[in-house]
Amino acid sequence: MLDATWIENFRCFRQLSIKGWAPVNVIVGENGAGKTTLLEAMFLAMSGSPQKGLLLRQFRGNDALFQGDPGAIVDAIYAEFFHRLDLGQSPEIKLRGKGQENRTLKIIRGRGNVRIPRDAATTKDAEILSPIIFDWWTGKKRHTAGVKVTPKGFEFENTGEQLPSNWFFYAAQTPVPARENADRFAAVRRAGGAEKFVSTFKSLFDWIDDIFVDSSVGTPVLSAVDRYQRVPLPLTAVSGGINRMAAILLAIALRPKGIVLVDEIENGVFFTKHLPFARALLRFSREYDCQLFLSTHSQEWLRAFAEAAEDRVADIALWRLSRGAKTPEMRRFTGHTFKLGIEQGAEVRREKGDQEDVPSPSDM
Amino acid sequence: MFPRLLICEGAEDHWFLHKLIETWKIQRFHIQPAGGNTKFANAISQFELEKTTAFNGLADVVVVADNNDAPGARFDNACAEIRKAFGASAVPSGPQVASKSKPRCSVLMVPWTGVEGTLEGLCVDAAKDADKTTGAHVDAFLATLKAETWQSNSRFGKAWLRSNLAARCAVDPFVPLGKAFNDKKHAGLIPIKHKSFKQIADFLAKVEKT
Repeated sequence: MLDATWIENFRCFRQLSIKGWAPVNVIVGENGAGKTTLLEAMFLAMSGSPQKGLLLRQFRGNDALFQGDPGAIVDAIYAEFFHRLDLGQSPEIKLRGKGQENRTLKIIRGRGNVRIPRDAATTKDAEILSPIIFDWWTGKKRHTAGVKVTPKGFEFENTGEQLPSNWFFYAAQTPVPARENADRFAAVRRAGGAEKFVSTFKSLFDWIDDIFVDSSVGTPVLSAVDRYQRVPLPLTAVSGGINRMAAILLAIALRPKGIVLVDEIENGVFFTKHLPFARALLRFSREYDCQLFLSTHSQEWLRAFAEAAEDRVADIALWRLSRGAKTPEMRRFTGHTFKLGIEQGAEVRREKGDQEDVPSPSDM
Repeated sequence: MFPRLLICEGAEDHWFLHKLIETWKIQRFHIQPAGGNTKFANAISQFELEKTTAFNGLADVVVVADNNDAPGARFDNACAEIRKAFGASAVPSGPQVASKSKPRCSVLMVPWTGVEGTLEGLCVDAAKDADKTTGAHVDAFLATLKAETWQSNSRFGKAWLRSNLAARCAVDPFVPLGKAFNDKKHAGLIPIKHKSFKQIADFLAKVEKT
């Protein structure tokens, strides 16, 4: 479980220090305050390859096709991770917790190296190690991975560490591939958790009679049987939102003590499903001891989440990111304050101005 | 920035306190109506969530609660709400006694410590002195109704003030108590400078100095 995060020179964060992560963290803040960046930073630090950086770029809608000088392309891909695009200031992300998540990532732009393999026929076979290096530190041990530019294209190195397979990041807009959900469901079933997942999902959608892994033109897909039409349909074909909800619950259920980061948790969820989905998230998180980081813009979802928590709020924290004068600022509220404030109709997503505190006559 | 927060029950208490503070020239408080005497803790949380900067600099929190017909129980209720919002260390030992926590918390009981009644009851003497003739009529009216047999100072005060305001405010017999304090059209219905309000004003003035 993560306890703290320090970020320096990463995207919009000049510096950000967060202490006191709870088992369940809800993150709010206006557009551009840094909610996605915070989740990305943690995900990147938990990974073991610069390829995840490319993936994050794609999650943000950037094209995966490049043209031009390979070295310049690598610079361009990773430059956006540097605060104010300043390649001279190395981004650093420190995660502190109780397990393997205790790691630090430094992204360094050094000097590129040309390597000529021993069996190279000509110098055209030379590999260029890009000037962008990802260094992960676990204690005093360093794990380095770079990006190689070869005649065949890019090759992403991997640190080779045995990292936990229960750390996940769900971007705000990216669809979850059908195969990914099918694979995870199979893994959950092998671990004996399929029944709980299926019954929870059936309680969310009463028209679902069963969920199983089917095959569609040779690809495994997670399918649901419609109670009324008796037709098995791939979840991806039914609804992107349902598919995403399934993916998030499966990620939590995959292995105990995981970490799941979800950007814009409300995306694709119909308003009447906020409450049961929030209940399912909390139940799964607690039963599988999975730490959650959920960002949202939705007051409707926040209200549902507070209601779903009932009186168990000690493991919940609300975090509010706001654009500070120099760098975003993060404020922590206890689950207790969050719940009570929501009950009073508070606007929890942003700080109000310190205005005249007298209601208008229409308030009376 | 006012490092003092007043949490009251409803909008009418809010208007009363606002006018009292303004008239008696007491240093400003944030005033947050809770929407009921069981929602003081919620209102404090709302304030924390919505005005974080102000909340961080908070020195004093005063919960203003009506005694109704059970001063002891209502004080205990206010303390329970403070405990819910800030923890046991913030609970004051008695009405008008500030705790030693940060922020300091105190409870102001209305009409006054140990006195049964509500804000309406507190306003009776001021309204009566503002118009003695109508006041005497309202006394007679409630006597006719045998209101003393209700055995409730709280309901008696409400009935008295409502009848009085209806009789004296021809343009709006339903005039809300808050408007009676703050609307210039209704100035004089309840003179806020009246001696009935002095002890409350003195208490609030003392908070600003702690």
